Amino acid sequence: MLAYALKRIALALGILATVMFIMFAAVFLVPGNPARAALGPRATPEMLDKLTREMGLDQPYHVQVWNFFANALTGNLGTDVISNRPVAHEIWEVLPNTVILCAVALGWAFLLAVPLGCLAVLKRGSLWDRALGIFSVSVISLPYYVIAIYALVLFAVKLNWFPALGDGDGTWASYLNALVLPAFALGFTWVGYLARLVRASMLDVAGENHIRTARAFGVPERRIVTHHMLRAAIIPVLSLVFVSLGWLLSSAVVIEAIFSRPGIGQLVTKAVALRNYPVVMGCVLAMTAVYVAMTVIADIVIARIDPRIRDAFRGA
Amino acid sequence: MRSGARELWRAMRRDPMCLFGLILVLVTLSAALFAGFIAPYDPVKIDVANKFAGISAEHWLGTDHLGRDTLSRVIFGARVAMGIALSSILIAAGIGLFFGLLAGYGPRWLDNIILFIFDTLSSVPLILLALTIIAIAGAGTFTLVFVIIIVSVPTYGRLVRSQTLSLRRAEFILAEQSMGAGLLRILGVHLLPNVLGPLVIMVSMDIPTVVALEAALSYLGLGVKPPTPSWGAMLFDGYTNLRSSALPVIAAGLPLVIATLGFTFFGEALRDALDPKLKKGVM
Repeated sequence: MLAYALKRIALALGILATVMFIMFAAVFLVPGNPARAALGPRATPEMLDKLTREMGLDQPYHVQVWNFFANALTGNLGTDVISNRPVAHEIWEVLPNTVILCAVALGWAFLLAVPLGCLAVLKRGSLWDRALGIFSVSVISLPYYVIAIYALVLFAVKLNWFPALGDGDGTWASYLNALVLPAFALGFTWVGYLARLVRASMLDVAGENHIRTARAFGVPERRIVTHHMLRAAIIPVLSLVFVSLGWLLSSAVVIEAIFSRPGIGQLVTKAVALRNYPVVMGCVLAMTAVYVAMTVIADIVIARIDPRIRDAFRGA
Repeated sequence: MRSGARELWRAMRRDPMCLFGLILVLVTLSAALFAGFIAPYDPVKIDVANKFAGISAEHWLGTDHLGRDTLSRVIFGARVAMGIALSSILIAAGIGLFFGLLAGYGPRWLDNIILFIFDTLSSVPLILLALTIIAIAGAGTFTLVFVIIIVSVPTYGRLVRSQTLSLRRAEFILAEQSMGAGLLRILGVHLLPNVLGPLVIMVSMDIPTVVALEAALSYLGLGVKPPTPSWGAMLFDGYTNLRSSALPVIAAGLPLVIATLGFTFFGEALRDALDPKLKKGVM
């Protein structure tokens, strides 16, 4: 188990280092100086020289890479070339906002999707099951940002129930009020996705011996579905959810841009438009690290719950 | 393939959603192909005196903040969306096919390297990977195509790799090898036709995702440059002028809904008809 965990963590760190290494190489290889891009066309040569030195761009490539990794390990991600503040600080400030948005979106989607999936299994083959299938496929394929914008037009602009922009004026009530629309739009896709996952995983275990035994003993179908099938189906569902978290983070970036909600998404989209490299690199490192860490945790937890995965590793 | 077409026709009669999907796909594709004939106005012609016009006989979907006819822009937007999506997906499928075959049939160390690169690319959340490339290369249509290729290659490559791996020990391949068939013959004549089917299905199911990605990036101002009518950019223009009129932003969302739903329903039916083994799949 420990060997498995260590190997998974080592692989994750390797991937993270490679991501940063490739990004560094790409910035280095592409013509155009990042300092010039940050300063814009009206920069004087002196300003350019100064910023180039400050960003360490006058150093040889291997020194730059070494410095970046050494700094990143101590939590220093460089300085924002526009606001002159430490990048790590800026990310730390907005990260909770993004995490809250993702968690609330995933939470409400999960609470709705599990009963929907159970219902589909209970009435499998019925019109209801079919309708849920079509609903799931539709919301998975619909672009979530179109849903976000339509929701914004209807509930914020026409009906004026919720604010269209920002994250409230500082009070808890206004914060929650401003969270409703973004969390709704972000979670909407997941209702379909999770309901489909729950249904498929439950049908996977439907033919297993303990389910048949329960049925032979006359356990009511509802109890079989909610107690026995759901329990067995939850592991594959959770593992797939963890693997899809990158998708959730991606959507959160666009949702934050739409609702002008402070968060990593807003930070990074603004930085990309201004070609503010240190911020872009810092955000990518932070979000990739979060995502990779999540998948590692999921793998280890699942290996712990399900001995078959552990044994498969030992046999390999 | 003939029996596949018959299967598809049968599926279509059995499943109304497939027919519905096919109709939406045809609408989108014909808008893209015949935009010049269908669109009532020039999509980039500005008529400021007539801005934010409502729905009327002249302007079926009204006009935007510069007085441009929204319907014409929606129709020409199909050409942009389909052009970018289809070209980048085809290139990505080609590259994925190459590296997938290489990883699946080549030596173990090469397989490990290629797999590690695929893993690395897919460990960066999609939009962030796209944003990184755009930050480095600058926004524009070419960068957009490049971004879609980079994010799609790992998925296609992995599919081809696993197909190849499962086939390389198959008896008919061993027979060919023992009769002294060359590498190119085994790859081109035996493996390629067998991996192509699943790849085609996956590519067709990927079209809505790519259309949505292109529009998302154009919405963020990092994709297709104005005044080119891209659905994502139209969505952004409409959103910015939301307080003046909600019609442009609602109209810009509609083609995205039509295209993504159409290609998804059609793709699902295609998959079920052509590859019953995948029917149980979740996505």
